This record gives sequence, C-alpha cells and structure tokens, in this order.
Amino acid sequence: MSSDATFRPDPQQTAAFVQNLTRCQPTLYAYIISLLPDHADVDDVLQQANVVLWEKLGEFEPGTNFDAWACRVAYYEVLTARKRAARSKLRFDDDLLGTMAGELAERADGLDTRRRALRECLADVPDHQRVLLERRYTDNDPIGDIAASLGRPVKTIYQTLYRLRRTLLDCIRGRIEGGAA
Amino acid sequence: MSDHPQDELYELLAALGDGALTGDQAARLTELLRDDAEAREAYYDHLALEAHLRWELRGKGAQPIALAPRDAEIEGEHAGAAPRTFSIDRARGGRERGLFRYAAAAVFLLAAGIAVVMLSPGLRPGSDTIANREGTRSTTQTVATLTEARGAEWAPGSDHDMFNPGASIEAGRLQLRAGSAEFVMQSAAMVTLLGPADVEMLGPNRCRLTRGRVVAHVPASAHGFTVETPTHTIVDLGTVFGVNVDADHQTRVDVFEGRVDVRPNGGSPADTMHLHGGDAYRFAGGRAEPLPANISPAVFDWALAPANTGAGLRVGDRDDNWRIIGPNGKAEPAEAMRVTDEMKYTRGGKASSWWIALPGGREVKSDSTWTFETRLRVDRDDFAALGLRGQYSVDNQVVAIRVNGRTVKVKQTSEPHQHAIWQPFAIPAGLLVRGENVVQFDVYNAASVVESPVALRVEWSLMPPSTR
Repeated sequence: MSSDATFRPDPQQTAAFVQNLTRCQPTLYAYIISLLPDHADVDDVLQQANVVLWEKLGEFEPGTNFDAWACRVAYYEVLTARKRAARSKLRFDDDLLGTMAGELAERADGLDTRRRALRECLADVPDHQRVLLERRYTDNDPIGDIAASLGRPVKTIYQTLYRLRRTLLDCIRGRIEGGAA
Repeated sequence: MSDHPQDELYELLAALGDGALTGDQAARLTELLRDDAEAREAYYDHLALEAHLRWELRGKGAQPIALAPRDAEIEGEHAGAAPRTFSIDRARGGRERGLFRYAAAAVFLLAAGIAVVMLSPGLRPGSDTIANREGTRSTTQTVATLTEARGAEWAPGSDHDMFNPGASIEAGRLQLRAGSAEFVMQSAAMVTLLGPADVEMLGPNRCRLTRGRVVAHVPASAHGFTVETPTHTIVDLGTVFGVNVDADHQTRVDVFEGRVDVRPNGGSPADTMHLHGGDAYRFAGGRAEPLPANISPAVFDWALAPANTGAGLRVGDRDDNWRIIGPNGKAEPAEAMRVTDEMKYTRGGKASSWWIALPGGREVKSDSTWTFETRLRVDRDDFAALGLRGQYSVDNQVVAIRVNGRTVKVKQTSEPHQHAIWQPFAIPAGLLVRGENVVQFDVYNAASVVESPVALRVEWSLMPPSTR
C-alpha cells in the first residue's frame, strides 16, 4: 500500500476534510450539472470526483477555499465524462466549457446560500404544487406520466412547472438580496 | 435587462430540464451562453435550482429502507393474504447517493488506500482505541461526521440541525426511528446505520449498538473499529462487515470481506471467535449459529432477501411468502403452511427455515407436480448481475426451478430420499428483473400406490456480482 513517508494528516484534519467534502456535495452536484446539463448520470461523475478528492486529501491547503478547489478537481472528471458522452445534444465547446467552469468555480461559494434559500422557499410552496415538484424531482417521473395520472394536459404540467421554477428563482433572489441588505 | 431575451432563455432551459431540447434549441442555447454573460448568469441560477431541487427533494416521501422481515412481524405489518415481499422502496428513479456509494466503495477503498492508510496514526490496533473509549468520553468530543441521511427520522427531541450532512457528531446516543444515516468516524471507518436503530457513539472508533443494523467499511487505518452489542463485542481487523441487533438483543454478524473478532461480553480471550469474509453468525443464548453468508453489504443493508420457507413461523402458521399451485398447474393456488418436522425430514440446517406444505399437510395423489411459488422484489441498479443460491430439501423431488417463467437447470441427484438431504442449487445472474420476480419450484410427488404429502424446504440468499 504505502510507506511511512506517505503524507499523514492528523485526525482533526481528516475530520475537517470530510466535513468540507460532505458540505460541498450539493455545490459539486450543481457545478457538474451546469457543465454537463445533458449528461445521463451526474451522480456517477460526482462519485468519481469524490474518490479523486479523497485521494487528494493531502493536497488541499487548509484555510484556502475548499469549494473552489473541489470544483477545479471535479472539472477533470467533467472533461472525462464529456469525452465519453460524445453524442450529447448539448455539448459545449472547449472554450465555452472553460469559461463556464471558471465562472462557476467563482460562484461556488454562493451556492450553499442559494440552496438554503431554496429550502426556505420550498416551505412556502402550496401542497398541490409541492406534489408536482416531488413527482418531477423526487420520483423523476416523466412529465407525460405526471400529466396522465393527474388527468391534465401535458402542456399544463410543463407550464405549471415552468412558472413554479421562476417563482422559486424569484424567491431565492429575494431572500438572498434581503439577507444581504 | 429586458424580460424578453430571458423568456427565450427560460423556455430553452425548461426544455432542457424536461429532456425535450431539440437540436436547434441546443444550438441556440449554446449561442446565447457563448455571447452573453447575463445569459450565463441566468443559466447558472437555473441549473443550480435544478440541481438543488433534485438534491433537496430526493428521497422525500419514500420509505427508503423496508423493514427486515422480523421487524415486520413485530410491528404487525403482514399485508393480508398477499405474498409479503421484501423490498427497498428507494425513490423511484432516484439513485442512491452517499458520499461513496456501495457500488463505489470497493473502488473507493482501493483508490483511497494510499490516502487513508496513514490517516490516523493514533488509532492503530492496540494503541489508544481503548483509551478513546474509556478515557476521553465526554459530551463535547467529536467522534464522527454525518455524511448522508436518507429518509432519516430521528427520535423526538433530537436536534435536527445536528443531522444535516456535514454535521459533527459528538459522543452520545443516536436514535434513528427510520431511514438510514451514513457516518465517517474520525478513524476513517465508514459506518451506515439502518433504522430503526439505537446506537451510542463511544469514541472516534467505537460504538455501542443496542438495536438495529450497522454496516461498516473499515480501511486499514481504522483497524480496531469496534461495535458493542448487548451480548457481544465485535472488533474489526480491516474489513467490511455488518451487525444486526434485533428486539430480543440477538446479535447477527455478517463479514463480507476481511476478518473480525467476536467476543461475548464478559468472556475471556479464549472465547473469541474469528470470523472471515463469507461468514455469518447469529449469537443467541450463548450459542453461535452459522447462517448462509453469501450476501453483500448492500443486501444486508437493504434487508433484501428471498424468503426462506416457513421462516419465523410456528407449526400450522400460514406462510404468506409462498403459495402452492397444482396439481400440474391446473388448480387454484393454495396457501402454504409450516408443517411439523417428521423424523425422516431434514432437521436443523444453516438458516431459519422450516418445511412447508399444503394446509394440514394434506396428502395428494401420486404422480403429480405441485408448484411452490414465491415472489422476490429487486429494486437495485445491478439487478441483472444478481443471482440466487441456496439449498433445498424436498419430498419427493424438485423437477424444475423457474425464474419469471424461465427454467433453470436443476442438478438431479440419484439420492432417493431427498427429504433427508440438503441439495444445493444456484440461479445464475441474468434472470432477475427490476421489480417483482416470481420464483417457482416444481415439486413432483412420485408414483406410488397411496396418496402422500408434498413438501419443500428452501433456504437461500441473493448472490451479489462480487461472489460469482
């Protein structure tokens, strides 16, 4: 396996690393989805990124920005996954992907705030709309199935979800601006 | 920014999110993102929302971990006369997501070995694991990090903020009513707790389980990771293992890889049992009863197991997991019932199974075939790689085993008294489907001048890809 010359983090450092890695999971997930919006299995890319991050435990400098560092590491997993998914409809060219990766890494810090804001906003979503969100995002049901089971036209479901997402985006923006004021 | 260009962008993004983006729309979206920084900002916000919705809503409303059969009995969850199936009802379409999935765990352990092996010099075997337990327990000692909670319901009074992934877990008691939670101990041992469970974190490499199940992936650096149960103490020697403590405080230990030592509490070192990968034992009343052990941690985790005949039943009880069709597939299915062990039938066995037969042990005419049928629910991504294996004992003869209508080759034996021996069998991978599977055993009642009983006894388990 490894010799004693191998880097030896202390248990506190390990614990801090695990905490950082755990906390930044949703951020990494959003980062990867943003760069691979059409990718079939973002979870797998995230898993692979986690393994690589864990391997690089000793390379992280405590006190620096963990999320931005994790995003940079994950970027290579994104590039690898992108190569494999060459048939994807929405495939950003190298320049655009690089630009976006850079901008997203800069935004990574704010993502957790957005997610917390979303959690608060979700609490205000009326039950009947909440059910729709859960069908879509928890159960991953196709829109057609949701429409059929509710006896509503597909278009109506599309529009409701569309409006709901915009409402949530407005709510998130409002909460962040309110919190910043 | 005017609303108009944003509307176009949002429509494209909605199509993207709903998987309905056309080639032209993809080209247009790429163009907008390339040329317009504001469009990219809106895109990032939108995709973050998509990601966070999936993240926040996953697992909601679904009971992630089905109760183990024994629990189901305790809590009276028999579902009428319908065959009871054991399933893990994960969120449909929602992939299991932990920091490191089981599927990735082996890769992780290998890949992370170099980083992990030296993680905790202070937690090597024989060094301060005991000190951690006895010397430094205090309410402010952080012993683990919560890395994942799936459908977790903590006992009332729990501080829920403490239970968000990333939270530090201090020494103390955790009561998980349902769902599961995954921790990385400070020693780097990865521990999954499956509710309902009652566990006390004793130190960075030690816990006490008084109810429920844990599965531990223990890297070399965390050697010595210890689980205490009401009756036994299990010490890891670098492995993957599971411990289950049921309501009667019986302890079950499954070792999937590596080695663990199991010692009865209060026992001497000479009482220590060394278990290896593939071993499984139930410890009850001072005895160690071997069990079939070819299940994976994931299977242990999910309580997903085919039903042994007559498991947990008394003589005369109906076995809701099985039914009997016949003769020759012509009659309506009948109930299956646990029947008494006659002297001539196999007794004992590796796991808790009993003979089942037609109600009252009804005797049937000779030269007829009766189908013993059970259902098995599989909700795993790797269903296609799973097989089944086990052993049966039969009166008079199993002439065919079918999985979802497809016949599995049965090795026939020349032994005439198949009710007195165990016959091993294996069902290869590739026959199970996601969802409900029907498994049938055709039992032939041999030609004879008098009517006689048909009976079957099966104990079996899923065979994960790694043990094929």
